[in-house]
Amino acid sequence: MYLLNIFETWWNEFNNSFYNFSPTLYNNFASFPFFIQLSILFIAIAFFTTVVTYLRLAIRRAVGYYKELRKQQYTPIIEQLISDATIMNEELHSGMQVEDIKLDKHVVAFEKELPIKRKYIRQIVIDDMMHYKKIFFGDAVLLLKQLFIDLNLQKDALAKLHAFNWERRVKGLRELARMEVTVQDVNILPLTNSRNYFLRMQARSCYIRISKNEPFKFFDILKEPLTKWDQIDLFEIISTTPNLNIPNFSRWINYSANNSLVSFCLKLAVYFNQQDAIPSIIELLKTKDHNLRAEAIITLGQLQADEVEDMLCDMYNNEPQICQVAILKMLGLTASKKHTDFLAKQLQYSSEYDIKLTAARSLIAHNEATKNLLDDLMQHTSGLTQAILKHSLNPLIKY
Amino acid sequence: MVDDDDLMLKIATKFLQKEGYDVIVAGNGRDAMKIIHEASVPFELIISDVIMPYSSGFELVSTLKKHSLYCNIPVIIISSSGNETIVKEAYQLGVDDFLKKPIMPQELLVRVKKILSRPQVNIS
Repeated sequence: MYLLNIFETWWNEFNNSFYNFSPTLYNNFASFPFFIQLSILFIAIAFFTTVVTYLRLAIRRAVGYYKELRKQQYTPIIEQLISDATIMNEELHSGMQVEDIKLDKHVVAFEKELPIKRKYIRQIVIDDMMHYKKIFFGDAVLLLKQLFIDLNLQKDALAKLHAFNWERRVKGLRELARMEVTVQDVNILPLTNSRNYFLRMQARSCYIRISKNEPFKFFDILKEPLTKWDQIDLFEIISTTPNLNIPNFSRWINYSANNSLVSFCLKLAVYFNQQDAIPSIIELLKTKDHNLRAEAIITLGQLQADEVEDMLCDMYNNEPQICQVAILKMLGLTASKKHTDFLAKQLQYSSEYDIKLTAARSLIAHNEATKNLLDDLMQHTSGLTQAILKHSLNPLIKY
Repeated sequence: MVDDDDLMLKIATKFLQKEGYDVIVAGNGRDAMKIIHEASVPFELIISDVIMPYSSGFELVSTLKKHSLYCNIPVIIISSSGNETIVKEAYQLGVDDFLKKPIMPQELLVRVKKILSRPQVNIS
């Protein structure tokens, strides 16, 4: 009923406007039955929409074609100017230090040979510089960064960060990251929490690459949990970025309320073999989150923290199964030989399959040290325990 | 110099020409092979990318190495991937050097000089 009222109001308004626009045309239109009027209206709307869509397409193609033409016209000049200032730089070839080279005359050449104030020309220059950066490195590329700054192109990249379109923002971030231009945190940090996955990841990647002192500062303001994909992507960025200033991850292991971040920091602590993080990881064993506690236990094993083995064995009976399995795994990772009897006991007397299997594998991880014990267990066990031992001892079975 | 990236070709060519080398470029392995066949003077060195349209850098190297006239032309491979498998494959095919993009122009020059200063094998 409500919708019908709305339609009636709209229809009356439409009729009034139509009459005001052309009374003759309206009288012709009004002479038709209601459904014919409605059909004419739909046909008119469909025709108008089609015309507008085709016009938009034609305009976009024309603009694209015009842009391509301009690009073809200016690219050779831009490439020449960039190479003169960087790869073919006379002063660089004469042995001068990059820091001592001034690019003023090259900036003047850009202003003289190109309408460099125009936005589209600046974009072609940025694109070309990005391409250079992809192919070359070394002193010449340091000059490229200098040229980027001298031409004030970072302003264009920064402006993109405030664009409405997220793809433009990503482009801006990419340009800043590729050119390694340092910008204020306020421009990038908010984007590291964006709800848009691509924008969020690009902002984090950009921040890690260009923030020289605190590349992981965005961990402090992380609002949402880090998904597995986020972690994989971040790990790739972190492990492939050269000269990264690696902080002590215990800072987040201890104080972050974001469990996914703590879990990620545990992995990073292992990757960078941060022995300094061990006290914080031990502190994490007090957490009420079983999954996180299990991860912390395994991390201690990966960091070879055999000094906590006694403590973990004491905790064992009061822990849920996931943490018990983690403790057994940890004993296998350190393979310190101090708790082989404990492992053998779990293998023999536990009724849980996972515990038996993990205990068997941890015993086997001790290599020669448990050879006699394993032989003994093979002889004196039967049924499931022996089957698990045989399964674990088979080098061809991985899982 | 064989590469499907125009900028790479232009810049590296300009750089090598400045050092006094004659450089002939091709956009892919197939065109490079055609140029090598038609050339009146034998090539002293081939610098090639790996992934290119029509015919890859590896296909080019493998064709060259099978040919009695061209098997002794030294080859430098430049690839954007430093993947162990690619590097291994390159050396197994018999390339003389491998560079990973991004490259340092001076480094390319040093490697070119080093290879060209080696005594040439006379095959005739």
